[in-house]
Amino acid sequence: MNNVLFCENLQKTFDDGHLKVEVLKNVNLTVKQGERLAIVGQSGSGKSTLLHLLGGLDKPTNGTVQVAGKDIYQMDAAQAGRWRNQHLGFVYQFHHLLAEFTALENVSMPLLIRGLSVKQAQARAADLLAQVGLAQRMAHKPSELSGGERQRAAIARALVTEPQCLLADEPTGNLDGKTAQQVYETLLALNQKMHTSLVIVTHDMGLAQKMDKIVQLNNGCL
Amino acid sequence: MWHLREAIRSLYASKQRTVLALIGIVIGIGAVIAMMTITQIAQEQALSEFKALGTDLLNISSIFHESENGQLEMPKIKLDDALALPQKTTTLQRVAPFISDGHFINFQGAIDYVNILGVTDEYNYLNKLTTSQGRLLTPLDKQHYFCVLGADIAQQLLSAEKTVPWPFNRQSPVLVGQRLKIGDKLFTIIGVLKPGVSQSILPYQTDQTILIPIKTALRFFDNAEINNIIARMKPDVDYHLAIEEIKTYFRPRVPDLQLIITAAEDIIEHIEKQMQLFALLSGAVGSIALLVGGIGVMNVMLASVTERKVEIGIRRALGAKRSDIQLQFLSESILLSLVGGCIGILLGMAITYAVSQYNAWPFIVSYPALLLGVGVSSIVGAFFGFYPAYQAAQSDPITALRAK
Repeated sequence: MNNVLFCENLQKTFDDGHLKVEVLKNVNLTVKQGERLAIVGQSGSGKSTLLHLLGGLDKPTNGTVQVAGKDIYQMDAAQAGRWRNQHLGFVYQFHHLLAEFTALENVSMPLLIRGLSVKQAQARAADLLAQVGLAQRMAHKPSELSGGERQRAAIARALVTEPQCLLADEPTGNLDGKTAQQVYETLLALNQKMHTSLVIVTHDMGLAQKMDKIVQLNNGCL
Repeated sequence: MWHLREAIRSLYASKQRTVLALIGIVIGIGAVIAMMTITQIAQEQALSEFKALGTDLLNISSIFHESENGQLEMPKIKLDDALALPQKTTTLQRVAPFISDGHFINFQGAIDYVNILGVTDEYNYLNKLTTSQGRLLTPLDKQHYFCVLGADIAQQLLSAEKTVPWPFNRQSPVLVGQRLKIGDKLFTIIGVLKPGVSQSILPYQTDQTILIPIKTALRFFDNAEINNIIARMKPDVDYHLAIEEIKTYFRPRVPDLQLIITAAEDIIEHIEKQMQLFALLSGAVGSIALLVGGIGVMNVMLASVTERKVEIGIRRALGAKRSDIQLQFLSESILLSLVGGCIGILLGMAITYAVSQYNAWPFIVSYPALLLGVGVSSIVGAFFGFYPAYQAAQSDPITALRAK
């Protein structure tokens, strides 16, 4: 299997001038195509920071991150944005859907950013929304959706570009147990159907155990 | 295109913020449009009087000067010299010399002090005078004691007539044929001028004067002298040349004569310059209003950027480039300013309409002002939206995402 995500000697130190906090220390990680990986650890252990670094959203103090075979930190901001749009999807603990847009428009957005026409983007978005069980809720705004529906819409938005890897930061952290279970099932079903790798940050060991691999982040080390 | 759709959505979603930002732009553009259009109307109104009579008129006035013995004196222009000007010069085609003097008048016991003008029939022609009653003065009136009343004077006399108790008042609004005492002489009213005679280049409001034949004036006034001449130049003559020729003509005929010669063209240029200055000043005032409006847009857009940090972070995470974010916020500020500009144009036109109605001016729509309004509002939106858009584009996606 190809490596979709790869990081080597990844370090991140936050420096506020007086105090240096070393959050990640020489982290090495490989995610293969279709692989499901859970990153677990205590709050403040650097899980989210690692996920942001893997997604090319933050800048590492040291080390490299390769997404689909290319070092994302060697690219300029525009190239990195394009690469992220093509190869990565993000799901957050809070759905982060844009309030003034409908579910369909929210899910279309990554494709519009990619440069697809509104018609093409909405056709693809409608398909994804149907796959996550929101076919009847496309015209609804986030405020009109339940917590689980919002998160499923967020998953649809992350997967609409058919990324090679989906990075999820506590995707069910804000949901009740039953809804969380449904969201996880949606994620896993889409993982199997689309062969998208999954990297999920969670501290829910029950859910982490459903992944192929679990890595624990402890004091900045895996 | 979807930037525009998103901009419309975002602005619509934050109605209160949008309305607040709009107010400044609406007032700014409205002020610019109103001031520009009102200035244009006022200018056209001021110039229309000159244009109605023609821009080829000259007003020649003799003035007092100090003689060698320290006395103030005004050498006399002979009527024949004045009337000969078109024949003796190459630049003038018609002249209307006239004499002016103030006198008390008495009409049925009502006394007033009025400016009397001794004129030739050319005066009627050059000023395009017409009557509402009776007729104008003609050369046939020679030295008769006839007079033609300005419209305002006629109005005053009619109201004076009503104050005279019955049976001495005549109740008739017809003034022609009635008699009027100017000084100690009785004059017969032969005509009443239509109101609204253009003041144009004249030093007097003809509506407020009484016209008598010039030869009567020369006989009637003490020390009567020709002190004013209105002249019409031949076509395509440079007024500077005409002025020079008039001065050269009078120099040997009336030594020590001091003349002030005013050309309609010169006055028009002066009015235009004044109006340009006024337009510049009003433009500056409008620009200040616009600047304040623009700063309002910038403030609201900056607040919007702060409010929408998470949205910016999400968009960046979804792959949006900095330029996409910048374009999105710029689209919003330009759209906001354009909408404000359009409403401002309507407001400006409404103000202009109200001012035009109040002053009885014709209402015109200044298309350059409209284009300027749309153009300026777009520029304001782009200029004042650039910094917030730049700020948004520079937002670190992680900081933006953590801003929840």
